Amino acid sequence: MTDKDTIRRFVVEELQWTGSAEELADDASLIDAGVIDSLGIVQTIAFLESTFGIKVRDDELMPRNFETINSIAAFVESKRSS
Amino acid sequence: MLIDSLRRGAERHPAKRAIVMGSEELTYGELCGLAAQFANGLEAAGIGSGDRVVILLRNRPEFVISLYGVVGVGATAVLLDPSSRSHELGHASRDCQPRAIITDAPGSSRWREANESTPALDFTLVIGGDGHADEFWPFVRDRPTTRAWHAEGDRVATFQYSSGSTGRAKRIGRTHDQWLSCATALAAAVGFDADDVFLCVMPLFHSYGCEGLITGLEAGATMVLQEHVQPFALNRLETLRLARAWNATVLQSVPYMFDLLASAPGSEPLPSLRHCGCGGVPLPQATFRAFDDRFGIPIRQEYGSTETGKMSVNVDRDPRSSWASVGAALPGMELFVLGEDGEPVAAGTNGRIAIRTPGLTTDHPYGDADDSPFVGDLFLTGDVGRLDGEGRLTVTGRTKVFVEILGEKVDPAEVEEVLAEHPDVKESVVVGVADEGSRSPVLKAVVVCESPCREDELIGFCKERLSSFKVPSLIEFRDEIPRSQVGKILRKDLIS
Repeated sequence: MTDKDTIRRFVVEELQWTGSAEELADDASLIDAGVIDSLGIVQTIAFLESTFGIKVRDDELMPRNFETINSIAAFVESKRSS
Repeated sequence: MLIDSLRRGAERHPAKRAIVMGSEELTYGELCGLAAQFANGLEAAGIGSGDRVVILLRNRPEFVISLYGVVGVGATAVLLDPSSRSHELGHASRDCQPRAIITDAPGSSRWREANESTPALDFTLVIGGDGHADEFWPFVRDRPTTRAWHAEGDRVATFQYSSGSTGRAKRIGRTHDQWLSCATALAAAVGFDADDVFLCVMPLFHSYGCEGLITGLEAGATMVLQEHVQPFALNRLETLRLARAWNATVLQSVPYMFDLLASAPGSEPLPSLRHCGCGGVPLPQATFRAFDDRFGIPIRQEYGSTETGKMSVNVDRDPRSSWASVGAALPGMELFVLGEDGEPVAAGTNGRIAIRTPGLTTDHPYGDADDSPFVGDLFLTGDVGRLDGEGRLTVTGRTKVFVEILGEKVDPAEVEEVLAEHPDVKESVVVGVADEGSRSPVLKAVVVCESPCREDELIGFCKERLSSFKVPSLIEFRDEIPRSQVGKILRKDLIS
């Protein structure tokens, strides 16, 4: 399973996405649409840290890192390669 | 009348900014004119005095224009959470029978979904976005910017649904006079005036945010709205940037947001902020300290409710000593702490908090039941606390959550405090749950752990420290305690 699919499954199962996994596009807005709310961001950080072995810093809590599945995957990739 | 705030502002300082969001700015003159145009449009559409109009919007200038326009024709603005699920919208729709709705594209489709089996509303106005053409600005354009405003102060201006942290959400109606009595009392106590700049991060549909808006506009201040607030962890830097860019003097928020501001990366100060008001839930000392250490600003607690509006604010000269207090009653209001017999207790003694205030709702679903919070002309807030010798209130907990175990009344807070002493426990919430094995409810502790822990270990820990009927029978381990948007623990989600 690709990183994006792993992230997609997490969003569908744990966050406020009410559609199917197929309906959740890589560029679908997660923040604007309220899919990631305040509880969700805590869960998302925990998920990223445990699944991808990265540590999310306070100054990395920016909307652009969490806007879409593409953004999250890019964020994870940048953490891995640094 | 609520609209008088805008009329006065338009007369005294028409070119002064009233509302700001992003690059959009509306002066008092413009805002008053737009409210009139909107109201004239409603009237032309046959919506007027006595009608209910749903406003289902996030914080934005159109929210403010709609609110003042709706109440200005003598209609009632039904303020709903824009992130409401369909079943919540359906409940509100059946409950208040609205004739119109002002919303955005996502809100419009969720409303239609929630009301599939009922006829469409008489009037719908959808603000553009997400591929949907805008209807709002064409609607207000070209209409007269003045009108004869509705003038009955005792007309219900708003319907809001109380947070429903215990039981089903209840509809609370408040009149123009009730809103304004709280706005003027709060402004007098804190000293809000036209030089103030409010940074509005709380949702405007909710009583706390709405009261801030009404109070600020009544004082002639500038209201800076932040476009995206949730999730706050991702948007707190924008809050700090706006506070500096606009020299905000007032920020009203909840402890969880003050925590996130205190821990935000960066080190620039916020010299302009003179009043950081905190409400919704009691302020933890750790939050007070963290924010004070970071910014040198002592958070001041404010105490209010949907049913009453603001009741008190801590305006103590020495807020670092009195940080735990929510202050004395606002001018024109009286706070009491009552014993079991309904009589006021001595200063320093805990009891049930009650208020006498002109801001109290007179439009609510509570009848004459024994457990009604309306007792004579007093309102029982559902909180427990104590007054000091100077009439300053400290809130210590909630009354409604006493659980009866085997005929004994258990205060969950007491059990939670004991659990907090266990080194592995981060936080806990204790509730009463039905148990098939026994006829009486049993105590369940929902626990979030710092480090792994076992049920029998925690129960044993409680047995050593509490009388037997106070020891939880069940422990449920969770990653997180469910909370509402303003940080209130959703106890009903734990009882299953």
